[in-house]
Amino acid sequence: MILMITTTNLSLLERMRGGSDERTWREFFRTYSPMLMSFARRLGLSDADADDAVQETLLAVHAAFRKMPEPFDRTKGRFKSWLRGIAKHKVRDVQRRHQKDARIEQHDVLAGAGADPETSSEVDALFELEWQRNLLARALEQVAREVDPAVYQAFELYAVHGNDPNKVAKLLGVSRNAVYISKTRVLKRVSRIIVELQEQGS
Amino acid sequence: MSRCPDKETLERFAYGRLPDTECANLEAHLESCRRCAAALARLPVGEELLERIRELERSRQEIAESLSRLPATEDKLASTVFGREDDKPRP
Ligand SMILES: [Zn+2]
Repeated sequence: MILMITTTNLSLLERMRGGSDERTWREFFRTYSPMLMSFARRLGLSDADADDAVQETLLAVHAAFRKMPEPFDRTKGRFKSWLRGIAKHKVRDVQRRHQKDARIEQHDVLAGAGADPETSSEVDALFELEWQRNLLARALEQVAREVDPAVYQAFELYAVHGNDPNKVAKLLGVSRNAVYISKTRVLKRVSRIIVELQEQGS
Repeated sequence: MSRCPDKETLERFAYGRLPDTECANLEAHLESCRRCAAALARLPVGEELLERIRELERSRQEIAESLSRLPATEDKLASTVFGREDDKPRP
């Protein structure tokens, strides 16, 4: 049983290793690109520049996975710190290119981080925030796929957005009890999935 | 309809500390008992998680335009990495 769970847990990162097929790669892209985009935008990059940084990060990740000799040690958060390193590097690349273009000498957000990894704690904290948001987003997406669409909608409308349970019940054509129960059911499942994702280190 | 659970049982359920077998019974009860379902919903359970969900939605909303680029970026990168044909076999 434990062996089975371990195999399932490792799947996305394991499938990426040694060169993935397109489906796996797309799954990887969808899993990590929103947080990478958010990370780049919050470091001050424009839409287009953030898009470039995301692309370059994911190309570098793909290339590195192809040559990766062994899996990440998921107990130590190795994948996270590895991805963070590449993302920081690529954001910095895009910023430098622009500074060169515009002949601007002023400091950018990552200038300190580039010169000295010790001063990059703010950037690392930002990455951590995006990582945590991403875990939550992935857990919500998974629950939305697992439960009845009306249950998930009831959860969103009632528990997240605070709409009147009677109105939500009427709108979705379910009982008021079903609306109440959706809150507990979805939150429980989300919490459990987050723990699972954290254990996977992915 | 089965008997209403006591407050403590309802709380244990809400905080995920009720064994699965008991959960199934309680969930069946909640489907038909408005009083218990409403009492459960009123418990301040998961407020921290709900607030994080709201924060996530706000933060994604702030960069919605950037995020809307991603599907096109995905296709573009996929064709760079894997070639144009969707079913092209890997060498
Ligand atoms: Zn009852």
